[in-house]
Amino acid sequence: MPNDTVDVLIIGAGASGAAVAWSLAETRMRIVCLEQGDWMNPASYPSNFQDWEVHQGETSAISPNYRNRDADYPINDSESPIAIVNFNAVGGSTILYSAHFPRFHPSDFRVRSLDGVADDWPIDYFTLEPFFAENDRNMGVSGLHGDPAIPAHQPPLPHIPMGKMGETIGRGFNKLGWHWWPSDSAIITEPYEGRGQCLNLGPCNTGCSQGAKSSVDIAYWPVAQRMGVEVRTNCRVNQITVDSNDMATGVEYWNADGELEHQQAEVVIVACNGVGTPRLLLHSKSARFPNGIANRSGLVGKNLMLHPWGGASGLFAEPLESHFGPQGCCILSQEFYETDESRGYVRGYNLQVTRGSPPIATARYGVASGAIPWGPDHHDAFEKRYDRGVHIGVCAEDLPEEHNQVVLDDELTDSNGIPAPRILYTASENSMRMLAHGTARAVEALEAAGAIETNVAPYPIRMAGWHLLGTARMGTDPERSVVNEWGRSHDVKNLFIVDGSVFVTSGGVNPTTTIQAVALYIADAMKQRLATLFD
Amino acid sequence: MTQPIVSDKLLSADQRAILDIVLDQIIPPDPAREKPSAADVGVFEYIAERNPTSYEEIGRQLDELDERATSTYDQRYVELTRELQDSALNSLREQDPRFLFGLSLQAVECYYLDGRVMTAIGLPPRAPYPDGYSVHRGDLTLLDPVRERGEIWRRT
Repeated sequence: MPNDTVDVLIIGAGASGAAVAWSLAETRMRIVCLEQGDWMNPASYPSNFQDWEVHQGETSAISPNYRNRDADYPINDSESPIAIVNFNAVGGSTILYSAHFPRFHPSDFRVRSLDGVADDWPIDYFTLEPFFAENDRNMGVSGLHGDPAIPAHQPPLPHIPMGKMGETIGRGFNKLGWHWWPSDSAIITEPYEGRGQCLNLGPCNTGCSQGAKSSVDIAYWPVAQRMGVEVRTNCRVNQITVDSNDMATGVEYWNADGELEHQQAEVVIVACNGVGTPRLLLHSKSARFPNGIANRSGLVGKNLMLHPWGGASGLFAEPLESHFGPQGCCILSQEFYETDESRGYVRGYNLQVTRGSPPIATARYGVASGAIPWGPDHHDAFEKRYDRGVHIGVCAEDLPEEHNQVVLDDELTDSNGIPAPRILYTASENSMRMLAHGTARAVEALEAAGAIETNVAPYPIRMAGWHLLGTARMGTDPERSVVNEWGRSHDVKNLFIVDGSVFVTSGGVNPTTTIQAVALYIADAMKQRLATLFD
Repeated sequence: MTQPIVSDKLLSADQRAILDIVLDQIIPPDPAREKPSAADVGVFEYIAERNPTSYEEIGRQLDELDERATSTYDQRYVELTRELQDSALNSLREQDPRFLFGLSLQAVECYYLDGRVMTAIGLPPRAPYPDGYSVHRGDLTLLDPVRERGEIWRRT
C-alpha cells in the first residue's frame, strides 16, 4: 500500500538524505525515501576492467548533460563559467566523489563577525562537532589525529597512504614553512563494518569496485534499510503538495512504472542538493505559494555557491608512483585558509594535492599538447612524463551573492517534462583574486618540492561544479532565509531541507562531511522536538 | 576466446596498408624497452569496435596521404622509403596540425592497453580490481615541523 500516509518522506538518497534517514530510523516512524536513480552495481565500475581509463570516459561522465542516463535531468549551465556536475542514483554524487573529507573550520560559521562579509550561520562548529564525529564513524573516515589547522578530532581509521608523491610534496611544503597534513578521507584503510579496505585502485571518482570508498549506498543505506527505512528507486518527484494551512501534504511523483502518483506524508524532507532542491521548490507552485513552496522570502535558488577551482600541475624528474592510490586524496595544505587582507581578497582556500595521471591520460594529453611526439622519440618522452606528475587543486571559498542563482528554464525539461534548472552564475572578483593567489602558491609548492615543469590550468575550471551550496539558506530571520536554524522551512512547518542548500557560506573545502553533519544535526533537532515539531 | 567481428568495409585494402605504416610512424617499436609498434596492437579492430564512424575521416586522410605521395614523389605511399613517408606525413601535419589527430589519440589509447606495453612500463597487465596496488603509508616524521608550529586554526 505505497500511497498510505507515511510519517516521513525523504526526497533524494544522496549524502544528506541517507544521513537523515539513518538518524530518524531509530524513532521507528514509517520513513520512505524517493530516489530518481537506481542502485549502482559495483561490478560495472571501470576499475573492474583493464580498459578502465577508456571505460571511465564512456560511462562515468560527470556532467548529467553528457552522461544522459535515465535518472539524470539536464542542467542549463550555459550562463555560468562553471558547469554543474553530479550523479543521480542511490548514493547521489558520493558515487563519483573523491571522498576528500576535510571539515569546515570554526571561522566558516562566523564570516560576518570575523571578516565583515556574507552572514554568520545561526549555528557554529562546536554545535556540529558531535555530528561530525558521528558521521566519521558511520561513513568510515581515515585520517591522522593532531592536524593543527582544525580543532582536535580523532578519525576512526588510520590515514590514507601518502606514498612517495605525498612525501615529496610534503617536503616542499616544509621548505616553505607551510602547513600540510594527510587529508581526512571517506575511504576505509582497514576492514571496517564488514567492508574491505582500500586497495589503492586509483579511480575513486568513477565508483569504487572494492566498496572501500564511503559512498552512502554502502556506508549508510544498508543500515537504514535494516532499521526499516524504505527506499523507492526510479521515482522522480514532480512537486511537493500543500494544503490551505500551509502544511505539506506529500509529493506527486512518477513511480518506477512511469505512473504519476501522490504519496501522502506527515513530514517532507528535501535532500536533492543545492541545484535539485531549489528546482523542486520553485516547481512546486500552488495558490498558497505562487513563487514556489517555502519561497515567501524570495531567496529559494539565490546565493548559489559553487567553489571556483583552480590548480597547477607539476612534473618531476624522478618517478613518484603518482597514479597509484586514491585519486583525490593524499595530503592538503590549509596555510591560506584564513583571511589575510594583504593578499587582496577576503577569506581563503584549501590546497588539495591529488594523484598523477595514469598511462593513457598521460599519453593522450602528451600527444595532444605536443609534449609527447610521434615517432621514435615517443618512448623517451612518455617515460619522462609517466608517473612523475602531481596536481595541486585550489578550492576557493565562494561568498554568497543573490545574483548567483538557480532558476527554472523556460524551455529545457527532463524526460518527465519538469523544467530543467538554469544556472545564472559569475565568479566574483574576490574569487578570481583568490584563485590567482592560490594557483601561484600551488606552483611555488611544486617548485619547492622539486618540480622541473609546472603548468597552471585556466581558472575557474569549468568541469568542477561539484559543490552546490546556499540556495535555501538557513537563518533566524524569515525575510533573509528559507529555513530556520534547525532546517525547518519558515513558511511550511512540516517541510525540512537538509542538503547543502541550507549553507550560509561555503567554507573553502569539499563540503560533504559538513553537509552530512548538518543533516544529522537537523535530524537530531527533529527528534528532540517530536512532540512540538510543527509549533 | 571469440574474436570481434570487424567489417572489412571500414577501410579499403590500400587504406589498411597505409594505416599500418602510419601507426608505426606514430609509435614505432622500442626493442630496448620491449615495446611493440602501434601497428602491432590491434588499433584497427579497437577503433572498429568502439568508434567505427571515425573511419570516414581517417579513410579520407589516408587517401590524402597517398595523393601527397603520388603528387610529390610519383609513387604510392606504401612504396616510399620510410624517410619519404615521414616527409609526406610531416608536410601534411605542418599544413594541418589536426591531420590524423583523432587517429593518434585512439592509437595511444589502444597502445597503452596492450599487455606487453603495460608490462614494459611497469604495470601488471590487468584491471586495477581486485588485486589493487601497494602504496606506502608515508614517513610521518616529515610532519614534525608542522606539529612544532602548533595550532593555526582561527579562534572565534
